[in-house]
Amino acid sequence: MSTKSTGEEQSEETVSGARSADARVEESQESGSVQGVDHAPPRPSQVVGTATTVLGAFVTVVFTPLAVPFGIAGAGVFAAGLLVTYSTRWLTIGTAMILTGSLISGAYGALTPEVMILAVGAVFVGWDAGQHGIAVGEQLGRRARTDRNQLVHISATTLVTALVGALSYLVSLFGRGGRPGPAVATVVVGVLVLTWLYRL
Amino acid sequence: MDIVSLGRRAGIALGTIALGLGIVFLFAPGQAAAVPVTVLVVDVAAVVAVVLGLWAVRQRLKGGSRRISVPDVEFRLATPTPGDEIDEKVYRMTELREGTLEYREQIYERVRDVAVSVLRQRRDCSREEAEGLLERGEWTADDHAAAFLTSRGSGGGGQSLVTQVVDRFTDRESAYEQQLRATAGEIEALAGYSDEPGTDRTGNSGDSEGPDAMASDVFSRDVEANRVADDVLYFGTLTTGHWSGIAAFSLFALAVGLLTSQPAILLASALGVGLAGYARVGTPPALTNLAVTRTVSDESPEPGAEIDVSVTVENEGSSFMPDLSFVDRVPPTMSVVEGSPRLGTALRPGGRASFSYRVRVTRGEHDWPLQVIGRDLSGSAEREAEIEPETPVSCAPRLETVVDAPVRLQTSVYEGEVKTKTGGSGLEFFSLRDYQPGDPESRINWKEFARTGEFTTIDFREERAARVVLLFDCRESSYVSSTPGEMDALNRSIEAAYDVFASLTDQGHLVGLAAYNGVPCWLGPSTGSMHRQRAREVFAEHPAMSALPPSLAAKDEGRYVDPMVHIRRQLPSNTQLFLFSPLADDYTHEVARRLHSSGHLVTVISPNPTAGRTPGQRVARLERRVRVRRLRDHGIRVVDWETDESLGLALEYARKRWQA
Repeated sequence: MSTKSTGEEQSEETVSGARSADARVEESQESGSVQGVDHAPPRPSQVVGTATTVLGAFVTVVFTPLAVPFGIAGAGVFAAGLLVTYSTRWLTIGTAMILTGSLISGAYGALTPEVMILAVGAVFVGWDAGQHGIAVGEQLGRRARTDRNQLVHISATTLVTALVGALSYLVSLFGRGGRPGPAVATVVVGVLVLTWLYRL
Repeated sequence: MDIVSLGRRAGIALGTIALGLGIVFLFAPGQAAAVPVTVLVVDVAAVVAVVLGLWAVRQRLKGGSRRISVPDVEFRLATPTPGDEIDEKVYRMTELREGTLEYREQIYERVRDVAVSVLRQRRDCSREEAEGLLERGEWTADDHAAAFLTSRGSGGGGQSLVTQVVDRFTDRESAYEQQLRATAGEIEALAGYSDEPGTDRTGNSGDSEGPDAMASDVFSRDVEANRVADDVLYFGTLTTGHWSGIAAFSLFALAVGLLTSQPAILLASALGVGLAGYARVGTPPALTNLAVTRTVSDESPEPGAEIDVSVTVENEGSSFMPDLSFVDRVPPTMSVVEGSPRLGTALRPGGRASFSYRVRVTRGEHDWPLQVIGRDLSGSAEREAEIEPETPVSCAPRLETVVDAPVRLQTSVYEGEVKTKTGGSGLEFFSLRDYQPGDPESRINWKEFARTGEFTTIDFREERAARVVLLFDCRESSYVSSTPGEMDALNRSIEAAYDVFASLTDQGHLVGLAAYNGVPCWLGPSTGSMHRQRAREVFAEHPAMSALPPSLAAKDEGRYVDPMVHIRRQLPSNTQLFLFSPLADDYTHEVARRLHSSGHLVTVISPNPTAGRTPGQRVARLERRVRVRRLRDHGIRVVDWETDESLGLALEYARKRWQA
């Protein structure tokens, strides 16, 4: 069916050049409207960002009733920021709420270290994907092809988060058996100073 | 080295030492006893962490996330609509409370002038009578409109403070706007100009599909450029703040973790610190190793044609470029009709990517850069560069047409196609007259001689070529359009002029070009293929006919040229003029009248750029109609060319009207 129709079109074109020129003019008039630019974040980062953030929020929320409002509200604000308002500020506020929820859960001892790493890591990946998506949307828009740099960016963040998470987890496993308080404290002071100086 | 960076280095050294010691202690618990740790120390550390965390939050809120901005290159340059300046004044008056008295006075004057002109035409009365009618408010049944145009009301006013406050907060139109709208509506009704009032009330906000960035930021870059290679300009780097805020979380988590002694939270804090470090290490890639090739489907297209542009970029360096954004900075006179001139990609060494789009071109020489934004892997730093691939597109009209442009009865001495009202040699019978010595033998009426024996001579209708100059009003006020994204009146005029020029030369007339603007432009009436070629060059390249408004085009030799002096000095006698102008102000009206009264027949071809979305635009539309009317009263032909009409059609209607 489809091959037949293309064959007909071709023969028409060869039969009369004038007609095909007319057809081209018509076509160009149809497509002649100006292509705008849609500054929405591209779909992949919207999907990845929302999905991982909701996952992270769910994991932190599910163990502690007190964290539930933070998780739900945070995920809501985040999703609205990424899907509706395209604002990094909303993303950050949403993320901050979810992370507050996770700290509350953690403070009650409701989360095992494994779950905590998973949840916080997922929230970070979602936040990063969402922000990147909004930046790409602002600069390139949704009509442009942007799959490759999104893919590279999101996978790099995921990989780094997984690596850092795994490393911290291994260190914590090592230190779990009877850590000397002073040693931990010294590490903490070092981390504190370095974080502050490398602050972002 | 200043004190801050010195302290910073010391701090980094201290932190590293502490971290190292701590790890040593973890492995060798015996040594740790030397460090005094109490609950108090832990609490203090937590408090410090919280304070620093708050500081980091503040920084995030202050800085937010910044990105290198990219203009909407897809759209044409946005041009204003006549009357926008009135709306601007109304806005300043009612919303910003600026210049209330003078703006009110200016708007009042304009509206009143229009009303007087319309009244004089419609009621067939003198200026004094019309002013009297306005003064007494007897011209309309609408109270608002009548009050608006009395000298006491002098443009509305007199509303209570309460209404003003309510208007401000309810986002309603102010009383002034309501009065102005009512007045514009009443004058329109009086002029017999029926346009459903309020049909495009929403049109104000309906322009969302148009470009939102005004042209100025397409051109002006406040960042200093730095040429790093023959065709690459660097615009500096930017710290995006993409990960900013993660340190705050780490610090809070540290504090909570210390206070509650929960290992899970300390772990989350460590994750945050790790990611903060990741965000720190990257630097944006060097963009000098990008090879860009741009190909166009047609390097010398016709104006209005659509050409395909495809751009291929290749990473010729040896390092991975993880995050690249390419935006082809299509000139503001072109619009993208298919595809997107943008691409986001990642390029490994030797990797290449391409994108293509289709643009509609306008006349002129075009050469445009490719904007590249390179980010590091974590997205925390951006570098902007411009690469200039050498792909000039030169677009000149072919000057061939099927449109038939009507000339008037003012001719040159050359043979041509205009049937004059004088007798002489020719084809068509014109008249009989007495023989005068020297008349050619062939034109003697021999039959008459045979019958009566007297010599008479037959005159035929002389057919002459007309001498025509196409004159363009290229001042800033001609760059107007009825909607912001549409082609402006001057560019429409010039595109229409291709047809008129070609049609007139095809008919054997002598055609010239002229424009008035900051730059004098004159191509005397002539004919022949060389002349046609020169005309193409003028259309395509002459700065006076730039596709961009003078305020945005290259700023050279911007001096005032008086068309009265510049054109009239060069204009041969017996030359007709086709004057292209949107008639958006009184100046061109005056030009047309003066040229007409100095013996040139003038045909004004006026693309209509007016719209009726706002009161101001409606007033401007009325003003233009009054101008058209006054020109016609002076015997000047005016082709009122609507936006959605082809010029051929407009000329056909006009011809019918002139013949009737």
